[in-house]
Amino acid sequence: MNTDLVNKFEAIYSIQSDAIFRFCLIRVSDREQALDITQETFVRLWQNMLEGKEILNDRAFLYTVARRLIIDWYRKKKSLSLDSIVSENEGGYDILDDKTTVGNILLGAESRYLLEKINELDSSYHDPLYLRFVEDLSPPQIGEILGISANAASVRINRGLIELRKKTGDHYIDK
Amino acid sequence: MKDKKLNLGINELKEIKMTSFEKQRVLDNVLSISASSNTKPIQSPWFNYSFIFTVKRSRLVFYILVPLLIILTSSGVVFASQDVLPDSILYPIKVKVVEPIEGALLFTPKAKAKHESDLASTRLIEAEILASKGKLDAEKEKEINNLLKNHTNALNTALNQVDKSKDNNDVDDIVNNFQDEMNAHARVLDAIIGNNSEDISIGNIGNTSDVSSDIKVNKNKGESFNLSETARFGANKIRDNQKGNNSDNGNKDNKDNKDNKEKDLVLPLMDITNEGVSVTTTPETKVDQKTIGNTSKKIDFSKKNLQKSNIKEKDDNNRDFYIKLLDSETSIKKVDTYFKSNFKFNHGDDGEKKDDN
Repeated sequence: MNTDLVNKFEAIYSIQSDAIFRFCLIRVSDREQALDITQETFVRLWQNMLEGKEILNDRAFLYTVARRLIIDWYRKKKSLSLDSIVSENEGGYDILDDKTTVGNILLGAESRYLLEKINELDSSYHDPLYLRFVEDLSPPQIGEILGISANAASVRINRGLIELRKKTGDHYIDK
Repeated sequence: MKDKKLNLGINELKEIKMTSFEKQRVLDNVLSISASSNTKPIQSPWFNYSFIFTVKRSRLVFYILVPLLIILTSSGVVFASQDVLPDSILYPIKVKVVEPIEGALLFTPKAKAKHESDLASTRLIEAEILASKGKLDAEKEKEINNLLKNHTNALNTALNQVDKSKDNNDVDDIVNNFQDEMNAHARVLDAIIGNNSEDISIGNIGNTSDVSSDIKVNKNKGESFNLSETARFGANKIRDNQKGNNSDNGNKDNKDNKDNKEKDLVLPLMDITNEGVSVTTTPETKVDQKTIGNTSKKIDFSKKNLQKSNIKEKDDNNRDFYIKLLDSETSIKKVDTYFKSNFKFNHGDDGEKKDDN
């Protein structure tokens, strides 16, 4: 096997694996399923590299593949999503201690609250907001992942932020 | 600080990570996949028998299949356009594609002439149907008028190309039938529209080869030609042109045979039409009364011509006998078409049943 190719892949994997896993886990609310999707995402990248296909933006490629695999997974199996789990716990966040498990995800109070509010947003807003503020992606990169222009991604981030502030009320201070 | 809460939430989310064990396991699994073990779709065991595989494998099937699909699609449109009227979007396909192709597939001038004669009748029938539905506006009448002129010119051209020494009898039949059809349908059209225009006198029309040019000349003189007039004018023009072109090139025996055939044709037709008129004893509308009146007059006219032809036959004046016989035949054919068509449009199926009786 080509050592350079393996080294290149391992470098990408070490940087992106946690972010992709996080992205998957938050969307599917199941650790094992998130691991499966993460593995499948990197398999696709590895296959493309083996076939000698040129990948211009590794990160955008990985997020795009992961997002589509998540959509496929939802289509195949109507599983309990984080949305429904959170909505079942109506009345907010009944925290027993600093780290509370939601599904299989171990989350703190603030992250649970933030996720709950992001997921309450319109579907066109929560991916751009998550990618912008949690994964620190730029609008052009978000646009590339979601298949929209950088300008449209920027607009969605801003509108999503306004919606989020409306939903959180005075929980977060306006910037 | 409330802003810290947001950052805290984001930082907590960022802390979601794989364990080192999970990370290594996923990496090992991914790297264990070699280039040869690409995840390709599993081929169906029935793929070799599938339609797509057959098309992919055999270029010959592809080259047969594609033209076949085109033919099936286009033949569907052609079939749909068979009986359409000028108010349909498929009508241009019928008159500009289907009918010219049908004509192009006929190789003898005689067959072409017959085809054009049939098309001219079809145009008038279409006009009659539209008029009976009250849909014959000026635009459609003009369109049918132009098509009728084209058919008449094409008929004239085809008739000129027929070898008269061999097919003189057939030419006469085509010309007579065309004239009968045109005049009868013109009368039907007039009855439906209520034009009540009179026949153009045969003797007043000159002997020119191009029919449409004559029509244009008459228009310039201030005479307005509607559809029925165009039909009559075309019919008479075709007859005059062919009379002018015909010379007495047949022998006497042939003529005698032909005369007897014509005579055999006229008498049964006269009986059938007369029977139709006598069955229809109670005219329901003014048009019915007019139809029956006109029919009876024409039958009388036809009978007179037949009697005259018999006198001429006794006098051994073959030429005059034949002309009178033709007049009789023309009149009775015309009146038969007129009678049937007019009752069909006024009574629908009932009219047809009466005719059948």
